[in-house]
Amino acid sequence: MLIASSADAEARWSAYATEEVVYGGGRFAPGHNFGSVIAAAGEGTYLGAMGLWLSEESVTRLSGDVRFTVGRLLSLLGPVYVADELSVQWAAHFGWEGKLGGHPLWLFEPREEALPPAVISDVGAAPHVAALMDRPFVLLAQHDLGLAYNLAYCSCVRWAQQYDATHLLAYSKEEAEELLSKRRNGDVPGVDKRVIEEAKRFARQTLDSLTARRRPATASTAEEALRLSLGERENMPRELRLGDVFDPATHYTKEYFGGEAGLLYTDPQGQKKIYHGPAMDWGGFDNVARMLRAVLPVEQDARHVDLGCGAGNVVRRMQAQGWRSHGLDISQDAIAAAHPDVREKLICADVTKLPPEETGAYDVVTAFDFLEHIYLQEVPAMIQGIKGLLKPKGLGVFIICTRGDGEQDWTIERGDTFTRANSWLLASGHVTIRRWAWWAKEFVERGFRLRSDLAYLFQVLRDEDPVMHTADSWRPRNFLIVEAL
Amino acid sequence: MISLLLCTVRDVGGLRDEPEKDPVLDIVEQLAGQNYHDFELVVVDGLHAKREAKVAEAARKVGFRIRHVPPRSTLWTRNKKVAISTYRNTGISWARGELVVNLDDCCALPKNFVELFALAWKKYGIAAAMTWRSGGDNRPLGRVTLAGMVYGYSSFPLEAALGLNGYDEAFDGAQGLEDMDWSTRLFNLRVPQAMVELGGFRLLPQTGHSPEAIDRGEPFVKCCNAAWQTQRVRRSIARANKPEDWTPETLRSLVGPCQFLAPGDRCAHHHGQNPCAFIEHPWVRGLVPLTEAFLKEPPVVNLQQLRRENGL
Repeated sequence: MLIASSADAEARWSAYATEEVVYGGGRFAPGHNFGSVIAAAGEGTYLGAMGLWLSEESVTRLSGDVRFTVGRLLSLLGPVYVADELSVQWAAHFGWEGKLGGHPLWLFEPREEALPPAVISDVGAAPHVAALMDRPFVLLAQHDLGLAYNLAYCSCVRWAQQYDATHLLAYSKEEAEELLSKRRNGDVPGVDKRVIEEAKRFARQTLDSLTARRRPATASTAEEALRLSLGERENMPRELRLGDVFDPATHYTKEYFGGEAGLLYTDPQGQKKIYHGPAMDWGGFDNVARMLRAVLPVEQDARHVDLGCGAGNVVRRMQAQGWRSHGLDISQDAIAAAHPDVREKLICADVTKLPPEETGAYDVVTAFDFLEHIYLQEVPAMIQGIKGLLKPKGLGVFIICTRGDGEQDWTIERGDTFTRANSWLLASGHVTIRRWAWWAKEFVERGFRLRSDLAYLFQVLRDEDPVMHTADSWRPRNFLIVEAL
Repeated sequence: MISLLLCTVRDVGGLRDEPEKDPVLDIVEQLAGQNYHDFELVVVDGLHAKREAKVAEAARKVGFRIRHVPPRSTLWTRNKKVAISTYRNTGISWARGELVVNLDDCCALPKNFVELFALAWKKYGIAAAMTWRSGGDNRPLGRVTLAGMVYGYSSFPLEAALGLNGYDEAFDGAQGLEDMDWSTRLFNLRVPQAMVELGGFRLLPQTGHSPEAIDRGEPFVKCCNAAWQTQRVRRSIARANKPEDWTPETLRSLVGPCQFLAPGDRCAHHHGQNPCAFIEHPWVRGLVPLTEAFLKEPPVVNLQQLRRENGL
């Protein structure tokens, strides 16, 4: 949460403020660097920083020789145990009850399931904290402003990913530098209320999150322990054996989707690796549906069909935006996993062999991460099929995995087998990788015109969208809107 | 039969809350209360001479066999003191059970601890690894689908261990990589591994974590850069301790690129953005000559031969 160090350790700290997980186990002695502090936290403990506190220098000014020692919070609702006067003040800021102890290393009755605790500490106290703790914990400590900024940006991102927490920043870099400069000039500002509030909120969020994840082992018998543990992840990855034929009809199984089990493939060096396919669902489709509603010039109740619809997540979200939405997918597994609200709207079918009632029925066709899964020789038929689905002037909106500069075109023919050379990419099911312009030409030659105006509008919205602007696969290079002539 | 393998250098005082206890005797005492009895205990002990009589006395009182042995001398290790891989291999060279379970010298074992491993192996064909839920340990339970995920309190079939020629003794444990490497190679060998949790299992707080740090009285330093670099390169080695597998690249990967940097160099791990904090640490700088010596004389081990010498 918040970790402290002396100002001169800043450069060293920054070395660890990366997105890599820093882990370790070991001892810490005064004067050692942040790596040691993290190590002191215990094996497998991932710490992130969120805010800041006073530098060591400031602490000295405020309280003479008093330094933080150790406080241990058994839980947010429980008492805060602290060891010296300053820590009491610290705890008071968080609204926690402070209790003075006579020992610099107060040792408390362990309450097994009331953890994880937060700890108030400074660097000097960190080894003692580590000695006290036999489990992961959150360390709250003084810190330097500029460094806090660094850590908040870097470590905290990783930390937030670990715990599904939202990452917060108390200060901008400029503000931090200004405050730091004031402090250096002797103008010691009081504790900023914003920091306190953010820290309190973050502390609660952190501990709630950690507590929720800390599920005590309940199995008391060996049989039950095995049943519970193995039951959580039944699936081994499905192996893509070299020499086996790639078959789109059987490739997209539950191991492909969702990132749990994955597909075991052989890389060009002969090593076994696991490919984790796309998640079954993505929250960003909400934003996509809203943006398409804003950009596409169609009626409120326009008919829409999503190709390669998977579990119908796009369909569901488009429906929520007022579209009359349907889905098509070749994978029975994916459709079987669909949300009940849309299951009846999904058809398991080959898009190139559509039933006649679907012809000319739709205002909009979408296909996200789909066309690159179509064999090269079948692309013309697919585009004809898409045209067949659309009403005149109907629109097609596509996200296609295209190749960029320095990359090669990629073609897998029907009947090709998994090889050491191709498995790393074929695991994804991509069989046709071409440039954007190639795809545009394919559509134009088969009765479509480009609607770059609409695509541009979409990209303008995407640029402003908090979710979509970081979704790289939606960049212009992969994005295409066409209109049936 | 199950072989429980305990590698230790921890002396009396090593357990924070019970400083009077001898960690080895504590484990022996805990094992005496297990509800599953078909096991032996192999203790590879850095303090073998000091503890020999006490362990022998304890062995007479319990209902299972204890093999208490010193570690092999390892002149080539970087830290010249304790190399956990060497300890583990020494233990494997004495093990008689079809499944070997790694113990630690600082844990509380529920009474069905051994039963769990036996059941997992015999009924499910799974080499179980113990985990415990906490905020920082997010390894998922269940069957392991990623290489390198299992470490620590894990088990493995003896046959697989011999096939792999044991732990890679080039990993001395100073960077905690030997367990990840081991798990990776077991994974590549398709040994079914699974993380399991069992009520009552927990770690006991220690006064120090790293054996060599205890010995040296110096801080213990781990570098995630080294860990990841090493994993990447080492995954291409199926059998450990085999000179024919070594290339300059794999050997250099053992020690982490940081140790080849000079103060002020930019570490690739941080995309050249930051100076590496480790590299300025005198302890790390002091490793360089040891590292170079190690690269000139890498380890050669033959587990099968060791077992023959041990009469197995």
